[in-house]
Amino acid sequence: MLSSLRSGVKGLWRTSARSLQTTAKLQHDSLFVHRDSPEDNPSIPFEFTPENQKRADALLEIYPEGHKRAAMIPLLDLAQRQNGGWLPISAMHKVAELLNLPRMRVYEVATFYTMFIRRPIGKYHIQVCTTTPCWLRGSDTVLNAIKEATGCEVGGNSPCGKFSISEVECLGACVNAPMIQVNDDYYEDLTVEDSKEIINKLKKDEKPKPGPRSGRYASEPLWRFDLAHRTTDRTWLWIAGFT
Amino acid sequence: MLRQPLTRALALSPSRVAPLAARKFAAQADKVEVFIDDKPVYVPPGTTVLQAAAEIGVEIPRFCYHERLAVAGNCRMCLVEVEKSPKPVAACAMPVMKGMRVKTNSDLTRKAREGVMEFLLVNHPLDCPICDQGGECDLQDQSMAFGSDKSRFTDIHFSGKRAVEDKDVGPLIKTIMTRCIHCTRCIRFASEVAGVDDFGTTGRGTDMQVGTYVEKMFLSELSGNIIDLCPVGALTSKPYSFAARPWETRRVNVEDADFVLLIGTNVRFEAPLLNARIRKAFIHKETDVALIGPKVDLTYEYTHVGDSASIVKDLAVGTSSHEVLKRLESSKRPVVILGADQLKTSEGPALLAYTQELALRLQDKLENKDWKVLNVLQRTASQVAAMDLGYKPGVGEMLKEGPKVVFLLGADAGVVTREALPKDCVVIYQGHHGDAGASIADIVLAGAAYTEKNGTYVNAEGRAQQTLPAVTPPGKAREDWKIIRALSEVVGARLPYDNLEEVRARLAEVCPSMVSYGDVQNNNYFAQARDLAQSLQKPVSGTLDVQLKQLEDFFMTDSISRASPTMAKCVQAVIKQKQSPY
Repeated sequence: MLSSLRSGVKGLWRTSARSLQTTAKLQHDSLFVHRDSPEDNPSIPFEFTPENQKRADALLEIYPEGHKRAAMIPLLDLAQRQNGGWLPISAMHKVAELLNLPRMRVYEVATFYTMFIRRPIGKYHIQVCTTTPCWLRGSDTVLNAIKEATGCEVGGNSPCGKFSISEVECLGACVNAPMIQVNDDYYEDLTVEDSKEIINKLKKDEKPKPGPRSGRYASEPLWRFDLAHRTTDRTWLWIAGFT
Repeated sequence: MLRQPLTRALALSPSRVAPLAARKFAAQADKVEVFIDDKPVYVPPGTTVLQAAAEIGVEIPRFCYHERLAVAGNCRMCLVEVEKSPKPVAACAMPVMKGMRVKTNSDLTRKAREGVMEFLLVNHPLDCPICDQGGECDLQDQSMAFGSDKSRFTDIHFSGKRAVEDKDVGPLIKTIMTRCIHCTRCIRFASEVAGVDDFGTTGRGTDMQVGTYVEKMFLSELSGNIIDLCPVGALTSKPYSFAARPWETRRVNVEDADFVLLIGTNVRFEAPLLNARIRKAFIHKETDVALIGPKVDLTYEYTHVGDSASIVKDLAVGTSSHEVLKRLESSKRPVVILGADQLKTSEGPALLAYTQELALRLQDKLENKDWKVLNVLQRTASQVAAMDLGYKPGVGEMLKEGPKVVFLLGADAGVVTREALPKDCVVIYQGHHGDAGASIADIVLAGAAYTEKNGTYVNAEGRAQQTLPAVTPPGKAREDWKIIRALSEVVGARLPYDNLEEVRARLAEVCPSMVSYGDVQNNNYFAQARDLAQSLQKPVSGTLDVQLKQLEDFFMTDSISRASPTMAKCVQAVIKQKQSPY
């Protein structure tokens, strides 16, 4: 609302905009303060399942006495996984309790890392890389295809509640651009069709095959590079880095 | 667990250890020679560049550095050029090295400061004219002194300046978070001094903000101090007329102690600054604390010995089997603090006697005979001075005799009640802000408040201090001594004092310590007190209790704070926060 007001006011004042000081709204898609909501408030209890409690104990075991707070990130991750991909405030409180730390110290960590998601999200969290290499290779068309297939906007949840989309910075798979990450899996060398197929499978809760879609095994050159037959002097020079 | 982050901060900042080390080993310390702007200065190793510069009067600009807090080194304002260093270094976090040559006014230094200042101002609003901090703002002063003379900020038509929503941290502190420059002083104060880890940074990069993440009041008896601590106008005083207490933490006895025994006192609310010092000793010097009395939150860990008065007796005669006795006896610098509230009970004299016995027994074992073991923590204002002047506590005896006239000098504790007095007794009340006392009075003589008169105050330590009037008293209110002087004339027994000097001269005759302003008087007559105390030793069986257990009790302890709407709001806010799930 603030931004629309701002642009409206800006339009009015276009001729003498110098005298008006404006402020930007927060640029990030998530808030850095907590607001109680029916889905996320401190009265909703959070406990680790017996299985995860064992994992938590094992995590705490790794760190020496007096340095237990080092287990904070793994514990928060464990809590996020248990809670279907997002981290409620009660889970942060639980972690603070386990580590015997003030809650604020946990809030600080949970808000610092973008991989801790502090709002309810869908079962499939689709992270679309839109950094330069992926963008050059068509990440915009991939993003649009995914938005259309899921009916979900960036930073929001789909009407069915199954999908959430985030635009992210480089995920380190530039050789296989464009790419997306769905929960823990990378889907690479994507086309619009590939993206649609992945979403359709996920809608049926089938697991699409992760990895490159171009027929590559990993990040080897896409065209066969037969040294025995097709190299010229020029290629050798290129390989050696002289040209 | 609690000690960990601070000991780490300590390790990161040798400067904080340095003054202590310097004091202890002044004789054998090898001083390091460094050059600040080509002037040689000798400082102990571990001193920071910033402190070394301060030694010879060169002040390096800073925002995040505060001499009483851990070093953060995140504002970068104190960047200085050091010869042979490729980049400018942060003076507040850099320990000196032998032969180091620091240039605090070189081109590189000035350019670095100007750059840092420019970055800080990119997201700082230009609202100085409406900002409460204006005129006492570090950012304002330093941008005048070290900033650029022109702005290169042209982003105003695109993304604009950053805006951050304000936080609600209680009725004392007004927040305008857009002004925050992320120095983290308030966070470190809350965590290190106040012991309430409610502040922190959330988010990162341009979205980083200082706050509490959840809606939460800053629940601390020292909360008002962060207003003074904030170098910009992000945290200002909400009740504008409310003057925050000066945040001073002088080094006193208790900080050098290695074991502190608290008897029947909630030192956190009875003496917040003393408590802050005990906490400091607990964290930085591994001082251990034990408490006899009700279990309360003191913001640090302590051994709870129990709440029965007989424990004191067992400790005093040495029959206690509790580990605390052993710790006390093996301690080199023990301190025993007795809450004065305990003396008001019927078992008070015996309790004092046993506490004295315990303290003297510990004293006998010490190598350092000058060390003061026993401290009685007075809770009521001016009690120390009243005792020095010969005032005898306890009005019960006098009330029994059925007085005809009762003259209350600002007595609002509710000890004297109308029911306890004969029907024909005339009650005269003299004072200001009166509530309990003034309401039962037949005649009220309006005295000047503490801001309206020349006053002498004696603190819990026994140090006399004087104040000057800041405003004139309203209406017909007069300074207290003038009222009494006028009264003496009316009743026909004229007092021979016509001005303040004559009153103070008489005060000096009665109690010379009370006019030696600024000095602490040593307690005398310990041996006599011991004889007296031994005669009073008798079995004790009661339990020790304290009045101030919770924060909401802290804000209204006398007639002035009871009359203050701000303090009433504080109490409300604390109660509200108590019901909040955070």
